[in-house]
Amino acid sequence: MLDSLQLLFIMDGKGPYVWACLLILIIVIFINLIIPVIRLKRIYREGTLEE
Amino acid sequence: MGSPPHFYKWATRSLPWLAGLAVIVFCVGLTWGIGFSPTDYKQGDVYRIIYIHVPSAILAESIYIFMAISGFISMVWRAKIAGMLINSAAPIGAGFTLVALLTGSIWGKPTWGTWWVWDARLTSTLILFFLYAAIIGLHSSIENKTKGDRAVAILAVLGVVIVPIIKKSVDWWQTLHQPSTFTLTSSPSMPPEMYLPLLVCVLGFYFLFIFMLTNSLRGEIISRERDKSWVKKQFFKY
Repeated sequence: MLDSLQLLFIMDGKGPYVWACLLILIIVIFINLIIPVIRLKRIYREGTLEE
Repeated sequence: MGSPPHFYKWATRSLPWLAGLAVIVFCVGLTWGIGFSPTDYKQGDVYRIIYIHVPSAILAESIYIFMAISGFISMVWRAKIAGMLINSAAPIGAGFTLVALLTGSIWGKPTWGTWWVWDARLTSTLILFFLYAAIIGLHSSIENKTKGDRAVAILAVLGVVIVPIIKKSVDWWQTLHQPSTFTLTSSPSMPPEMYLPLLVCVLGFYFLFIFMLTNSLRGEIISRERDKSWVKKQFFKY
């Protein structure tokens, strides 16, 4: 089990390329998901303060 | 459905379902592709970048087409929601174009021996990224949102010409980039064990886009309609 996980991680020396791509994808998705949430929270805060 | 309050209600109701569907299909596709698909005899394991790169590139082009259609609707029928859709989709499209460019560059290093070449496919995709950036910049620089919507709608419709150029770039010019992975006219050149997870990944990326767009659109609607009574009643509770 550990051996196969290690093989998956290293991928015959090409692992860093594949995992770097996955990391970039996750970062971009995270940014695109978090920005609207922050924006909504800010609008809500401003709206509540106006009151 | 086209009015912002109805759209907001629909978006809020469907968001958890969209999130669940997107996460399941996206994770299944990526796990299947990266973890369980067979190793390529020529490229080895580095080919697994295809499961990130190809869906991102397909989505980058699809989102622009979606924005151009929304732009057309916004120009012809002056539908408020169409302008909001462009504004919400542009950052997501820019993000996936960036992913396609960066993952392509990372894939290029071990296979071509270089991070970047100024060939037709790569350059036209870079132009697509600049178009997304121009739409985001143009909209944020115009204070009047109605005028801003009209300006970005024109840019989205005019800029859609880049999509067939990207698609056909590998046929029209001699490029280092390989031919299209997906074509409607010919059967896939990959075996099903490699091709099927790719299809699931593409589907997962589309679901993810719908979820991200719905999530972003809620903020856009509230931001634009904050002075309207329905927002004050529902959102600020006064």
